[in-house]
Amino acid sequence: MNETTQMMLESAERLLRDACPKAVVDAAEGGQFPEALWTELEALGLPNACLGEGQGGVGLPLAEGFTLLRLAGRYAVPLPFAETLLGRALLGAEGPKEGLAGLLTIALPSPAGGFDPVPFAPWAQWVLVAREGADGALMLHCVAVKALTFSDARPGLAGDLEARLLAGVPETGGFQSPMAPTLERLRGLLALSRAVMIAGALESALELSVAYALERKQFGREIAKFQAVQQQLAVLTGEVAAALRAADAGLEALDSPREATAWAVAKARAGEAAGKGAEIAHQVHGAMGFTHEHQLHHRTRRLWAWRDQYGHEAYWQARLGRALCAAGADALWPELTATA
Amino acid sequence: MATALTFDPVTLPPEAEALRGEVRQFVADTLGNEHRRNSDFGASHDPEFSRALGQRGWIGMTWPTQYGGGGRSFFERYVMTEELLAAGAPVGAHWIADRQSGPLLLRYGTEAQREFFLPKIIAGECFFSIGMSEPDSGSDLASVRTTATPVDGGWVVNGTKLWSSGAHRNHYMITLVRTDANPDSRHAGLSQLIVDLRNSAGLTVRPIRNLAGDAEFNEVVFENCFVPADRLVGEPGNGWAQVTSELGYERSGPERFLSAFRVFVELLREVGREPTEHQAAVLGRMAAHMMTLRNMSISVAGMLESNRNPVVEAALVKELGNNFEREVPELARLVAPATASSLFRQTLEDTILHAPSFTIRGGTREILRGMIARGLGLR
Repeated sequence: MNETTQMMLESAERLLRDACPKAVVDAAEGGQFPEALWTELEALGLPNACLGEGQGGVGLPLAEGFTLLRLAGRYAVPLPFAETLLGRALLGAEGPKEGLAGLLTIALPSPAGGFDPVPFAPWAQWVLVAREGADGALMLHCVAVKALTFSDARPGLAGDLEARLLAGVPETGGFQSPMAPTLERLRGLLALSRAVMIAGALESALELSVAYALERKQFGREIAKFQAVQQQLAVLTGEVAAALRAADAGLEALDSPREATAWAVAKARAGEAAGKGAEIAHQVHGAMGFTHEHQLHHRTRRLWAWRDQYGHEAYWQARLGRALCAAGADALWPELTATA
Repeated sequence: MATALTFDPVTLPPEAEALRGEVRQFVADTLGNEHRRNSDFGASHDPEFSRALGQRGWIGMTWPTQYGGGGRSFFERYVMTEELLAAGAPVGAHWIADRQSGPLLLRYGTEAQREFFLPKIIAGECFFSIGMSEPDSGSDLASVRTTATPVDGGWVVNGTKLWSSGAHRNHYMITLVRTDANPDSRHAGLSQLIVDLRNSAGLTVRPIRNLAGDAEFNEVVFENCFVPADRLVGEPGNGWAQVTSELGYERSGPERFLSAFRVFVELLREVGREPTEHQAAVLGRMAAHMMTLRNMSISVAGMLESNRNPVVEAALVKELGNNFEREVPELARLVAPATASSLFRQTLEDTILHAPSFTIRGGTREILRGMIARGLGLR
């Protein structure tokens, strides 16, 4: 990780600690746009981390800029930060300039037809609508949210508003981004974003669980002293470590011939860890963790939401599995150990 | 806590990747294309194969060249071992000597011991067993009761060791004994002795059949068995620290997630080129786990290479790896085609029958989770 990224992560963490406390996440989940948080993120230039310097961005490669998403996961940031970060990088020099101002979200064509639910559509100014042309090339349209028709927004598991894109998608035009020349790559990048966010939220859930176990007393001692609790926290640690490594491996593979495989592994493995991890974190927290007052649910509800976004575990597992079957049994080990 | 979760990325160096091709070719030439079981099962003891590896310089690869070692990196050893295990190669004979007995002697042994044992191990002609557990000491290793009493010229050993794999056909066993009957603490007063399994009076080795029908592990009974003084490893009383360091080598390697790998390969063969959605998802799930585990395991190899002592990280790899290899046959049986070959069924059944040992050997799941909990500051 380079020095610019390191400094950016440190300031981002300071910002989020102050500007994204429980009250802000609660209010956002109640439908109130977190204006101050968004203004501060913009002031620090974080949504422009991967936008070229020529366009007024920081010019970090995606592998570096995406490390911010781990913090977005840790602090349960109730904004389409991943979509804006990636979307502005995609707009780059090719897309319309006006799209670089304001909150942006992404409409991704769904494998089953139509579009995946669009995160935070009601709050966004711009929607980057992706469409696959007849020649397989991906066309991106930066459309003002007002020009599109959406279903009623629903809060989903996390309380982060999402809506279905119903109409208004331009039939022609748009631009192409060298960063996402195909729908597959765009889907992979978005899936990777969720894997990294899941890893961050899991890290936070583990820290909360360990702190709670060391503080909560029953039967005259901290529950951390009970082997049954220790064993559960050890299992949680394994899931967190696996999610972190899988997500990081996805970032490390960016722009390598192995990237598509690494992203499928990242989303499949982190998605699995999200479910297992949330379950243990709640069990350790007991009834306290089931209350709205405790902040654990800000992480766990996002774990449950994020594991489904941009392809759940089974989607990415099946993709990996089909590729293995196509290559055959004798190619399995070479495939698992391939470097290029 | 931060250290337990940090598995820094490691890219295997070019020399390690170059070795991969050599090992693959060697396995293909030596073992041919016949069906193979998982590496650590009954048929895995093959002195001829071990000697062939020794001739290639693939045993004691990381050891100093002055003893005939390869002076190569942990990464090269990693690649060599994972290639052999994935191929189901019969590595059982030399495995313990290469993985932990040799490194133990390098760290704590006398110069004479190194000069005597290491070249033989490296040649693939000297095989070791582990003598740690006892009938009343499993996970609670510090409670061992086998004694070694000092006598003129050496020690007299009495007691019983248990679960010593390969002791019925290996040459030596590094044996954990109590040399001080009244130590200050239960971790004190322990020592390690190299016992000659083939030429010692007062020693009885009895193979124990396991539930799969193999007789791989043994009961080793010592009745006034004399061990010469020069077979003491390290300092008397330092046995606990030595054993702990030895266990570190045991926990994070590719053997902790490849025990069921042949089931994965054969399942893929049975499923063929056109899987159902469910079959594809199960195969992909296995791949996602394996790639992540391998990534973590290589990261630990990097920690060993830079002389760190990754106790918690190794425990995490073993915990996740064991859970995965326990799960592979369970997933496979439910998605295998009804028409699956008897070859597949054989591989699956072998693995189901051996799976209970995966989460026991090298430290039980519960002990490892306890170590992780200690790393979290819970105990």
